[in-house]
Amino acid sequence: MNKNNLFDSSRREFLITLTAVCGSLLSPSVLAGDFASLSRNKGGTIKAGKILSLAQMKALAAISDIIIPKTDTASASEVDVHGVIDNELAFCSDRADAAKFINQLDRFCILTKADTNKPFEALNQNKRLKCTEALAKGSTPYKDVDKQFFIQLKALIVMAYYTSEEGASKALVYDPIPGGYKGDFKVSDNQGKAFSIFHY
Amino acid sequence: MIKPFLIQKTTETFDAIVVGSGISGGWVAKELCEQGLTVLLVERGPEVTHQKDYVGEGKALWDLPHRGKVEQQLIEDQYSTARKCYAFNDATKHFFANDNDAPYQTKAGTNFDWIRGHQLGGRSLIWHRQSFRWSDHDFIDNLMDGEGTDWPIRYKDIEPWYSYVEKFIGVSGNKDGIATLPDSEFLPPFEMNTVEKYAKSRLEKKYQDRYMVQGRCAHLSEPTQFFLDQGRQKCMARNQCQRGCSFGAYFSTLSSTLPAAIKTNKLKIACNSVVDSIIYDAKSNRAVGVNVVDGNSLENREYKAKMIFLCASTISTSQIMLNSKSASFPTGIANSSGVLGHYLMDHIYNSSASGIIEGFEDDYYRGQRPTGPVIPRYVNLGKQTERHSRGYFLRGKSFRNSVVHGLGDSSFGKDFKERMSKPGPWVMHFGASGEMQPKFENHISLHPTLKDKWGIPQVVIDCCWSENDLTMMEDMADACAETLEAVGAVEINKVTTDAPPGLAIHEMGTARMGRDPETSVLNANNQCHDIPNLFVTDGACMASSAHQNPSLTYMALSARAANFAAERYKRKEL
Repeated sequence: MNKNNLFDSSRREFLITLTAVCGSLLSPSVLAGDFASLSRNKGGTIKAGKILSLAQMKALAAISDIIIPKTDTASASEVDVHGVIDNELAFCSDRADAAKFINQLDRFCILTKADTNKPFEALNQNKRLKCTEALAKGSTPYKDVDKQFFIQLKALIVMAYYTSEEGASKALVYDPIPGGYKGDFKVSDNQGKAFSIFHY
Repeated sequence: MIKPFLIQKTTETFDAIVVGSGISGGWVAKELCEQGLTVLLVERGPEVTHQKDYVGEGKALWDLPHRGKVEQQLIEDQYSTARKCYAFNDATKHFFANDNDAPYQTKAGTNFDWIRGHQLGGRSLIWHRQSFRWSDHDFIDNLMDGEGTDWPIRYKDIEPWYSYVEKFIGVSGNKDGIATLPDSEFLPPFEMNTVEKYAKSRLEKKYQDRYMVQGRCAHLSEPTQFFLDQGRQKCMARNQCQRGCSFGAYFSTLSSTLPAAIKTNKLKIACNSVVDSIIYDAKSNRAVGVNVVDGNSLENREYKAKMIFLCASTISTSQIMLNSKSASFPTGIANSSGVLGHYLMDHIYNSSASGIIEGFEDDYYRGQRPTGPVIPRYVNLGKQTERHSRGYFLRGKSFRNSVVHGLGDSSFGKDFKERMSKPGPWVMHFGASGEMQPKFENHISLHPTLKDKWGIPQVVIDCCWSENDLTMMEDMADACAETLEAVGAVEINKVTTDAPPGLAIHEMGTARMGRDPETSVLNANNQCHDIPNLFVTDGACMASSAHQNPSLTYMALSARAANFAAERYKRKEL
């Protein structure tokens, strides 16, 4: 039974780390892996979310793709990370925490538009990168409070991406039935990749 | 499928009623049935069928309904306490009790997290399966420091019963020959990974009295034909155990003891039957049945038997006893001693430390092992050498995180994504499990007016850490950090939390065993001093908590008491 369950320590460590960076926005059950997406937008059309407006969804999708871009695996928005986060905010978060996150997202959008005269999603790739760099560092036009928002935002994007089928089974190695425990195994024997730990 | 062993109403008088179908109740039912007695197993929750009802098992996150998320509203409505359990999530939530249906109170200024599983199989479906024998030290510590009452048994009394239950459930582990953690009847141990082997070597080189041994758990690491014949199979190292395991790779009532009991054709099971109280016959001084409230319809009914075993889980068992008042026992059945409800304990899980082990970059492991290395107790052996009384052991493991290592910093983009695809650095973690001293003031009682959904008085829990417990917390955190330093970890982070008791989910005591009827509820055979045909074999019976996970000891005590009772019953001595 529970236990500050020390034998689940890898999982626990993971949860502790995420809690540290996300505060209470992610509930324990979300942290346990219950991430969700209700609306996939595989056609590329971004729609208003359950709680986020169309503008907020567009900005969220755009910055998600800067944080996790398309490589040999899909980008964040291609696996509907913005939809997953919207769902999390709508149904699975403390209401006050969700409202605070949305306010911070709005603040990011306002500061970005004031600085560039365009919404974030309308910027070219180079300007999106520069804005995200500034956000991550809390430098002009952003402040320290926005730097904390970046850390929280990134954690949500990472959770949503690596709990998707693409993220868990292509960007990482998904191994739902290992067949037993093998203590002497090599990363080089695992395509050089980490295992997804979200399957339990 | 017709299941003739499932009943609701009956006029039959059984040889025995067993209240609760968790780890203890399952064992008692099996033993009594195999001794030829007719048994009614009374379970407050719904039926769960092994395999069929493990609805969350094997599902990938992206395939879970509502993408696996437990909605905030549902948590607030039903799972305000259960949510605190590490194993609670959308794939397991149906195995946790609805906190709103069965509320409990805590005394002002105190807190206690009570995690419950109300279904056939009880918490055996969601337990953590770590299975350690207690040692001689653990049965004499009450006597040594004067806290609590002396156990009426010693290790030698329970040793053959440990062997008996271990052979049946399957316990993986290594024969280590350590006095404070006696060896079990083992299946092969789970392997240590490369970094754990390295840490073990360093630790044992530095200390003459400290060992790192592999943990022992009720998982079939390499099942023999005995287990395969039961339909149980090898552990796949999925670490989805609390969703239910269709392989039957870990011990639960449903995978192990219940099928054995059903096979005898002596067992009946009444699900959705919430026991309100024990029916007592003053003339014969015997328990003769139980008053039950239907879990769904709330109708009342009675079940009758010649003896009764209470295995409803520590606090629920004492709740039933306290609610069983009569002219003979005005404060609760079998409570002539006045200690019923008192000496509530949990384990102290508040102290831990983690650090980084540098190097070993290509080393990894495959699978999620259901146990991890243990450093057996090495303090206060034979005499008190520490600031605190009692003992603890350290449990932990070394592992590599996935994706966490890129959080909390300013990185993003392709390089970040590439870094996320690789495992993080090796982390070594130790958490302590400490013994909580038994204290009279830590107790449960019944609320004078508040009742639950079934009209049963709510439990009021009054339980706090003692000064000894708090001192031990500090020392255990230091021990964890010291151990990490000894094995070469860096960036060591030591943690002591202020969490209240309860979340170790090892609640024990409240109807303790003892030698003296004036200071204990049960004798050396888990039999009430006051009423010969009333037995308690769940955690309520414990006179101390030791530092090891207690379930294996519940199993051994349950099997021992059931066989004692069956023999006496056949000789008409109950």
